[in-house]
Amino acid sequence: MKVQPWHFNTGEIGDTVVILQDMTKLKASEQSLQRLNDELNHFNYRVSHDQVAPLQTIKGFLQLCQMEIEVGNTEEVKLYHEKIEQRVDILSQLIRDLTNLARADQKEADKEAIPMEAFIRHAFELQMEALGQPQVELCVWCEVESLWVEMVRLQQVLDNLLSNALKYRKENSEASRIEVEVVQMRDEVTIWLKDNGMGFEDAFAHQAFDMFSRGDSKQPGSGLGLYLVHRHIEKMHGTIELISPRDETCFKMGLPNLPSSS
Amino acid sequence: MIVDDDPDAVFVTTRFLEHAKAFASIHSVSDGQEALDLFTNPDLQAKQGSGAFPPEVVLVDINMPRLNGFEFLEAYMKEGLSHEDPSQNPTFLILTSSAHPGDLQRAEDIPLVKGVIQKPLDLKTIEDIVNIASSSSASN
Repeated sequence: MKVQPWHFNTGEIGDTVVILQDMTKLKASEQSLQRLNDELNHFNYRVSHDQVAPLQTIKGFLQLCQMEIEVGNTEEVKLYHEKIEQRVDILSQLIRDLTNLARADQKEADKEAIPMEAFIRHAFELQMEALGQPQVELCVWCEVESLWVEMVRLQQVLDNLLSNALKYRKENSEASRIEVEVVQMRDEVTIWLKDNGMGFEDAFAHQAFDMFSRGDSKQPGSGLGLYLVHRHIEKMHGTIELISPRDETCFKMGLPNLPSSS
Repeated sequence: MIVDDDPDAVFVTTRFLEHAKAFASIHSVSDGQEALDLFTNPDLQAKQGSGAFPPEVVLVDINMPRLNGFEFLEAYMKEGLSHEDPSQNPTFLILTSSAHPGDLQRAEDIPLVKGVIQKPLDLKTIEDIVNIASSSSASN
């Protein structure tokens, strides 16, 4: 709000002019920009940390190698060599995740009709192979023949969710199982993905989709997987919720099933 | 005691400490929450074995799930675990790969923290740790 006098030609004050300007949009834009800036700073901080940390660990292993070589302990050197290889793999995975994240923000690709049941089973097989074929049963109920989506986005969503379900399974308990149910509701497809694994701690459940958020310190991970899933789902104009964080961990996704992107 | 979620970083730190033979025993927990649980629960402390608790030196990583290094140290003070006589507290040191000015400042702002050490450890740095620990316990 701006208040100022207006004057006659003689210089005498005639009255008061009150200018009201609606700043709501400007303020909202400023806040949004601030939020994005904070997010970018946080992102840079974490990316820098998550790339430097494994490199420093590798440096530590190399220094240990040097010490062991000096005393001729080749067995230890072999062990450190294996560890270095594993760290390089973890770092490579982080860089792949970051690349995927950058791609997730790129413009939408053409939709394709994805044969859902075969697609889910294939995604599961790939993750099983990557994780050394753990003992996990997959059950798929699919009443939708095909889903019109951007294939790469759906692939990365399933890869991340299935990989988590396979990695965070309960050991020494009932047989591990993943259930996927796909149902059509009007123009939307609902995908339920459930597993009987470790689930999420209650305190962590509300931030499961946050960037760099990790609920477990025992398994390596970039903390980007579910954030990436969320971004892809948003880009596909869909929704995702963590319906049940524990006992039977359950994600519910809704995706429009229309050939056009509108 | 090492508080770090990265098992390989713990491995490297442990190996260097073993080489240096600076401490009688080395124990690790995988995040700040686990460390806080240990400091607040006598049953868990009893399981550490004789002489292992309380630790003389605690090396705390910053970025960890559940409770990060700073949150752990703040919770430690908030829970009233910090002894009035500083020499009775373990020597808390931040062991990190971060050189971010914000992290260094935050570490400086926590009175419990006696220093920030960059990963990876080496034998020279372990000497520094031992010196800091002995000067902390002799500070009063």
